Amino acid sequence: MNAWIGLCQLDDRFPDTLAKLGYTVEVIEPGFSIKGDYIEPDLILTAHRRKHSLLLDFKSYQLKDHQNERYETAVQNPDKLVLRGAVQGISPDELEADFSYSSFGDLTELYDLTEFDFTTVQFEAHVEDANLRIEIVGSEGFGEPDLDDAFPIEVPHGKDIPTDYYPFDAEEEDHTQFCIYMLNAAIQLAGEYDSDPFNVDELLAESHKLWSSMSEEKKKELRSLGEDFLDKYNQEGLDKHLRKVQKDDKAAWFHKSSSFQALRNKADEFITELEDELAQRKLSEF
Amino acid sequence: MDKQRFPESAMPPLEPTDRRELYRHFQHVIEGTYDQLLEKQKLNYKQNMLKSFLVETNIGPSKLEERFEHVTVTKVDYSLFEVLVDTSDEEDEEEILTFYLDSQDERFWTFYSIEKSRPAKDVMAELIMAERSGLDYLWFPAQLQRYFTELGEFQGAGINYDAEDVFSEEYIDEHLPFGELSIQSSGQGTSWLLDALSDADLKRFMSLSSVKIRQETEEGAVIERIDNNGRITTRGGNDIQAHLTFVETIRELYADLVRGIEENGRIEYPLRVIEPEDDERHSPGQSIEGTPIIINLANPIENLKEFADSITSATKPLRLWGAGSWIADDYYKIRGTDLHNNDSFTLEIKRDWIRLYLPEDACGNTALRIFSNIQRYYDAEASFGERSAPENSRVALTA
Repeated sequence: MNAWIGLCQLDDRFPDTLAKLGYTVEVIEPGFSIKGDYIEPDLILTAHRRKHSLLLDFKSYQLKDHQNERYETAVQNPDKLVLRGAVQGISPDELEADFSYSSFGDLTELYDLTEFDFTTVQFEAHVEDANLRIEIVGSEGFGEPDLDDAFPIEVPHGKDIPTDYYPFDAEEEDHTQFCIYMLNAAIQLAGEYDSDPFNVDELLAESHKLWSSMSEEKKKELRSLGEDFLDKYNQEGLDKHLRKVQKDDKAAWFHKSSSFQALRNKADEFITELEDELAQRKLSEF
Repeated sequence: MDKQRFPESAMPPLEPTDRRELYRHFQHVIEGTYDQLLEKQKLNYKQNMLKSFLVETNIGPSKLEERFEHVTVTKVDYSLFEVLVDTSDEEDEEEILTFYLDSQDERFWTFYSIEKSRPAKDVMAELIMAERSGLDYLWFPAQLQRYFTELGEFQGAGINYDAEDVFSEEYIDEHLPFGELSIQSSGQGTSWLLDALSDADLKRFMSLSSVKIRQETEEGAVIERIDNNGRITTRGGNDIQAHLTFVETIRELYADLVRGIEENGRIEYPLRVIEPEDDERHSPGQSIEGTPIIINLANPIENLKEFADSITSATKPLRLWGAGSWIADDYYKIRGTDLHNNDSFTLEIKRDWIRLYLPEDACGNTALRIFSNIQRYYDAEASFGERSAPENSRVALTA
């Protein structure tokens, strides 16, 4: 997600290949029906001057046939994307659309997508001289020739994926980031005037700017992680620490400072423990 | 000087009731005639230089009284307030410092003072650095400080590199050539000295802490010393209007930078409504607008984690809290809060660049605080990436 968004931004430290072609982030994780079938692409990019949208779904291991059929319906009826509000600023009868799966691995080795008119895009780290290589795999290309020609995209060393647009998902590899963002959200909420003790949803809304438009399914997963986080947060005594910082209303900076420094040390321990735990879990899988 | 407007014999009122009277006060201070006038009136008042403190704010003047028990605010004129700060403590005699606050620009205030330099500076620091004060310094990047030298006849400079304030002794020993470097220069040799030092390896550590210039305007001339946190001290001259014009120029230059950062350097997530059809499921999505700010470093970072921990340790001057983790072997990420205004931020740090994300409601001043402090405490040659440069600004923050 972050890499695709990054390609549409003007950032000195990441390729702007898609931005140069006019693509911008149209919408992240929308959910809508086309001809009665519900689809939930992860991302839609649009180049308004080209009157072209690219629907993207990020897959690692699950891929279902009925989803393929639905995405095929979507690209065959691009006017519906406009009529449902997923794409804006283009006349419905002028829009063209493509769909692509995207993955850090070769999906074409796992699934036979030849019967569908889709493209798959593969991300691969550390390929020859590149920090990252983004290429189309399989035989199909995009309907928009300039977009098709833009691949492969090589991210040279010294340039790196921006990671903050979509800071974390519910997957295990994002768990450390999840906890760091939640910790920071706790500090922010504690810093609000007259704030009450915060709950999981408030922490999540503060941590992830896309929380309000996430699917209920994903919200449920993140809420569950958030409750685990709060349990651990309380066990570590961070709750007392933050409230103490919050209650110290006097404008005496050095008192505040020492509290925040102590809190930082606690947070570092918390993160280290979490990383050890995740590392162990990963080892045990072998 | 315009004798008509400010006759020497006229005693400026000690408690001005409008701007005109206040400026008459200041006029005499600038001319150095204040002592003499006060002596005639048998008042015991020492002559101090006029100091103007530019302050960034997101509160109204009346909030000062609410937030600080020892501050009294009285309206003098349209958007002009007298601000009395009681600095008395149990041991000392009563000590009340007087400031005049011009809040005509709601975002960038000017506090004027003819109190002694040190106590006035300390009081401003106390107000600004207080937790959630709603006030902040102006944080002049090195590029802006250099631009100031072109606003008039360049007469002097102060250079301060204070890594000791931010980094540990071990970090400095291992990774930096200096813990502290301080140079003061005035007179004709200053330009030559700066040029000579700029050609040497020293330039990475030459962060201008102040510049002194003589500026002539239509109203007259002033000699001003501009510190890198928004304090402007009038060291001489002949017309208060020239000083006021100068302060306005500095404020506008800075405001342009802040506005430029807020227009282009923040990330927004506007909501996109998806229309339902009959009773079908639907969920809204969000779009993304804006791009993070890239800060390029001339002084590569040897230890990313130590560097990140140092600048987000919650202490002055940066007052940033953050928790970090590695996202690749040579790529470190910090998620943090600006304790000054409670804005969140994210830093991604590589050896020779930093990516800074600010949320949509963030204050552009946060970016300039981070940037100018990196220049002052780590790398005087740090610059914004080409695409992060604030648009429509007269001053380029790029290399």
